[in-house]
Amino acid sequence: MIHELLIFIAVVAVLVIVWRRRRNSLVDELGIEGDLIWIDDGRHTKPFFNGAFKVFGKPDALYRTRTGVLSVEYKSRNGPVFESDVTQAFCAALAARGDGYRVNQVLIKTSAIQEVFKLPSSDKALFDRIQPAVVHARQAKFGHAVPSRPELKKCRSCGFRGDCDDSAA
Amino acid sequence: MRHDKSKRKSEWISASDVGRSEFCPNSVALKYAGAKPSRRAVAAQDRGNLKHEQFNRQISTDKRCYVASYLYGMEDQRTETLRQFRDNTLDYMPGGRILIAVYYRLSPMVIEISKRSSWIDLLLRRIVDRLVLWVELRGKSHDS
Repeated sequence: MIHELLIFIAVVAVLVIVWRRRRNSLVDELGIEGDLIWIDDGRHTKPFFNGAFKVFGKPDALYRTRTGVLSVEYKSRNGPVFESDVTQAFCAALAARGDGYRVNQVLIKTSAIQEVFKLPSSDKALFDRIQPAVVHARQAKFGHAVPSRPELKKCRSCGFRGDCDDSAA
Repeated sequence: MRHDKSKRKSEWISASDVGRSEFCPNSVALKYAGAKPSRRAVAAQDRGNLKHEQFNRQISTDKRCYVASYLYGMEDQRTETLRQFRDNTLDYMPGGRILIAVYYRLSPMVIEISKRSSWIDLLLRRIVDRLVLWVELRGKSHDS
């Protein structure tokens, strides 16, 4: 009986050690403690739609955390998080809210770093945060005049610089 | 440049266009005006898509890949059988959701142990094989 008990304790101890290691490695991966509840599996994954603000989009993943839902936006480049990344991620989070996911945090990860942003609790406040970019995007879509923001680095990375009269590159 | 009017009818705007508009509104205008992205940009986009796929696979196997996927592969028919059992039967049973949650909590640990020990791997495979067989037989008896 004693032997069986000792074996049982040893097995439990091994399981706990392995579990903790595994758990730490999961936390290290993205720093998220939560359950993956949605993932963008590519072209066949439908985006989220928010009818109130007429925006749609797909985050890369959604996690259910202790405090709510965390949206992940992954950028494959090796650089900092730009304001355009934040705006895109916030807009995708707003779209996900339209489909019932109460996203309260956004994690943006590049190959170099990752940053977490807290979102306003109301959809209106979140929309207000991205409204100038939404307005410009709609104006651009409808063919109205929109401003350019020529900067050497930006223009070098822009795929349309060959057609842009304002390009700084 | 040709203006594609059909795309312009709707007020709906995508998150990627909104992000791009923050970057430079004129780039969105050029896109909707029909400008073709440079070959370099298309190649960069393809590389980005590939990295996205890798990233998604990485996080999905970290969190979603359960024992059947580990043993048989994500696309295997046996994995699909167990997936359907989870979604169509277990999920509706009393305590089923708790069981699924516990299973998801424990499965990474079970997989980790199984990777390290061939005899546990074999044992696990036998247990899950039997489970698959039981689910299949159960399905057949329900059909008949």
